[in-house]
Amino acid sequence: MRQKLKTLLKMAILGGGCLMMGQIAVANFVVAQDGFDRNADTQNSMASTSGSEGPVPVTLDDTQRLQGRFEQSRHLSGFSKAVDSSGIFRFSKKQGLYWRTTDPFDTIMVVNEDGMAQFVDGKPTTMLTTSQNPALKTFFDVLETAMGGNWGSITERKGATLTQDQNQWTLTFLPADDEMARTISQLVLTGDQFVNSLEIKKTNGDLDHIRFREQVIRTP
Amino acid sequence: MKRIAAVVWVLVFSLSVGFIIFKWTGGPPLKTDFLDLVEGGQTALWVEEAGNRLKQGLSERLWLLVGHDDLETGQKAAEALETSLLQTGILTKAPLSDGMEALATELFPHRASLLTAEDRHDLLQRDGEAVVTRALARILSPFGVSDSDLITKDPFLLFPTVLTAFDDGKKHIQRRGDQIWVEDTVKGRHYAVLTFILQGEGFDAQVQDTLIPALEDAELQAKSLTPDLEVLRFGAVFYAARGLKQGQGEASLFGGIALAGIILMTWLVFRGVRPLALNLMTIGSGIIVGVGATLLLFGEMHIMALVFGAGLIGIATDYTFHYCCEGLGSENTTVLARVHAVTPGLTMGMVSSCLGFLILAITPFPGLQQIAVFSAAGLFGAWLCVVGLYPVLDVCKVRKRPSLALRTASLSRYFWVTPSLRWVRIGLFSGLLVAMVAGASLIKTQDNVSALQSLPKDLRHEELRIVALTGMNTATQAFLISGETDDEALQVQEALLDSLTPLIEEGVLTGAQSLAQIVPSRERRTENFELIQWLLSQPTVTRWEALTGMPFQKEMYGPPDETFDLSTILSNPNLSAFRLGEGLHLMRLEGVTARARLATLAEQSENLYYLDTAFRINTLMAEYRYRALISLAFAIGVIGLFLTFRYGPKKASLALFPPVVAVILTPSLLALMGQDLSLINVMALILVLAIGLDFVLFRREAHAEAAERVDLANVLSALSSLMAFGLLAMSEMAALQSFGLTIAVGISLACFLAPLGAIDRYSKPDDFA
Repeated sequence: MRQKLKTLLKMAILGGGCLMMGQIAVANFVVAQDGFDRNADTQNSMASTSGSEGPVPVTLDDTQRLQGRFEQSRHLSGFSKAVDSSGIFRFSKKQGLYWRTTDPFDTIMVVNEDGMAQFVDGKPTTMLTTSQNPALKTFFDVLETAMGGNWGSITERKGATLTQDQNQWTLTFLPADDEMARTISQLVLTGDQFVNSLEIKKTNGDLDHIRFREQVIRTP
Repeated sequence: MKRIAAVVWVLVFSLSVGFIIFKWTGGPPLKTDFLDLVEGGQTALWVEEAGNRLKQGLSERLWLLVGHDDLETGQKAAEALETSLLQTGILTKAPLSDGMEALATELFPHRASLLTAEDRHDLLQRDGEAVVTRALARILSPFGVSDSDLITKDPFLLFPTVLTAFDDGKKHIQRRGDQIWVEDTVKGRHYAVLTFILQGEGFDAQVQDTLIPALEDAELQAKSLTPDLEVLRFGAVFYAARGLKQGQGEASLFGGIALAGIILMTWLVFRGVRPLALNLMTIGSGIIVGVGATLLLFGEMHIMALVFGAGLIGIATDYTFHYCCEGLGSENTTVLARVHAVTPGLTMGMVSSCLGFLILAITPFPGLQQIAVFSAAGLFGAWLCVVGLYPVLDVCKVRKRPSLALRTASLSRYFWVTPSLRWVRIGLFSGLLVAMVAGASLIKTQDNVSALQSLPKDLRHEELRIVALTGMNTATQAFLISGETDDEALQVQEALLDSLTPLIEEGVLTGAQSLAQIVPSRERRTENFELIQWLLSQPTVTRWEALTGMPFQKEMYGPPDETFDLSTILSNPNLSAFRLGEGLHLMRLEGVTARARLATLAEQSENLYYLDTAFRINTLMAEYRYRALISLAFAIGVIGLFLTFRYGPKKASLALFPPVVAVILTPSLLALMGQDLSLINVMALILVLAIGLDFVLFRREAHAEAAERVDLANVLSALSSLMAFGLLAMSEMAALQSFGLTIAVGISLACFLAPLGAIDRYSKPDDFA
């Protein structure tokens, strides 16, 4: 019981976020948001798939951005109903992940290699650096390499397995890192030329399922 | 008469020795910390105590960062290094800041009474909507790791925000197992942070002698096993060890050169060791009586007072040289006659210098008081030794005239009285006047202690690297909060945090960390409980139900905090940096840009004290410098008055002229050399005044026919002062260098100008032909 509480609290500490993260994250956020909006209507360029062994994810170069819609269901263990939300996301190597929930209400989250920040009504509500939560960094790395199509580094990761058929690929990631393994038991990504879904299984039985659609690549 | 003086000397000397031994048996009553010297008794006792606690906490810790590009390799090397250091027994491992987890466990049952400032603010404004929206946003976030266990016990995720709002300032630190790591993302290098607690005092030479070689061995071994390993170190002990090593090195080098020079000089002039023995005896007598008097009046003594007081050597040698020179072919063939011949000059010099020092003693600063008492008593001790002991001990006969030495020494007097050199003198004075004016416009004051301490560059560089990597809070600004009880201190902090909020928005500071942010006072806990209960009864909680599909229950937050045990929670090691004792807390401040605003805030409450160590010390240094300068001016006035009684106003002014000119001219000349004016220079100037005055007074008090002998005594005493202190100008320690340079310039000037002070007595240039 005590151990369980400890784990719970650890997660609480990690999850609650740090309101005092300082201005770096906010500055990054502003840059991320600004940069994106200015270039929102740039040309659409679809990468082509090749070969017959199955779909190959597109590779983003440093200037390109991936964007689309997401639908998320959080299945919290012991809860009778999933916590659903949806919105739009944008991803670029430079600016990281911009995650804007529009339903059930408006909230913005920015995740990059420095950490994550969440905003409600333009005010930060949660700030968390990757050094405060190393799990966040591993998590972001996996997401970044998957969304950016960086196959080499994904398959080299400890605990990562890749399976592939004609229509899609599946990447299963079992966290080897102590910090991450304390909270997350498994990450499963599936996709074709894009990542289409992400499943996060927590050690306490919670399951988060995110589906991505209407994805396009923007080039400035 | 002769016997009485001897008996008095024996009495004073043995009393001093006895008292010193008595005080020493309980450990040396010496204070070594430079800051102790300048800290006055104006602050409240509890503030001083808190300051000591803080200093102690810092001085006994040391940090090593073991870095390698490969995490696992670095980890192994760090473990090996740690093990070998712990085996020395001089270090123990500092408890890891695992406290947050333990603290969270302790606080979690009381979550119904804990709120962040932001949530509390909104609830006080009856804006439950804002709190609920933030909570729901956190629940939605898949990356936030808010999970079902937590949400069922803390539906609005109020507790984790309380915990993380209390930032421990170690933002960059990561934990891996039972090690702490930081990463240099630019270099891609990982560093293990090893924190140790020193078993003993960092300023203790023995502790340093055990630690430093052990550390060097361990580091060398680790580096030979793991190439590319980087080890960074930070801790007061490293600075102290380096300072001591440097000090010892310089002391033995300069001390050796000075001693050799003085011995050689004495032997060349007097062809015997007796003057040297007498000299040492006089100096010893002065220092012993000085230490005894200081310990008697202050109960302790600062090492800097001892160092400065040793400047008495300059005056004590003066006494001996005058006595010995009197033996060079004078008419005074008996010892007693020689003593009688020099006694008026000695007495005048001693009394006027003591007057000057006693003026210093009436300043409110313990550091200056100690120096003044030491110097005055020391001078008296040296004087008593010459007057009382020499007639008993010294039986040497009058020596043959060492004419070369006498003639050479007299050149300085010759320069001032030869009519044909008039234009040279006028030219020289004009030059000095120009230098004085030009230099005066260049004088810059320097009151920054860190500039005087001159920290070794390599250690400083490693310290800055460590601070940058770990984000360690080294800011020296804080509020000290005192209350009858811990609870009262918490209440004071809560009010203070409220008044800081607008100041943070204004940019006066960027943030504050305090216990009250995580452990509210009893009153605040009751208030928070009511606020949370209010929120739970609001219709807006249905939004939570709609999102989660769970029925909302008020009981989720648990009962009020009847079991809250403040003392247990405050004893958590993670909070120890904020709690110095029962009811004595510390609020750390970050990014302070306008200190005056915070100081004003503290002045409004007697439970608050604004602690800005660096600023306070520098202010004290400036005040000390100012006071010392005023005292110096005042001392000149009092001495002038005393001399007027003896010589009349005209001759008294004449007598004061050389030392005063030296005192005024020296800072200008130093400024031309690029030296800033600090307290250290002013202290040296006080010594220049005392010694320079002696030069003149001996000339005035001696018989006219003894002029040559006085010239020689003056020059010998100036040379020995230059050797003993002037050499310090080459020291690598800024404070000593500054002291040495001032003495060198000041004493040279005073000795050169001295014949002017008795110019009315030298009117026959033919004497020197």
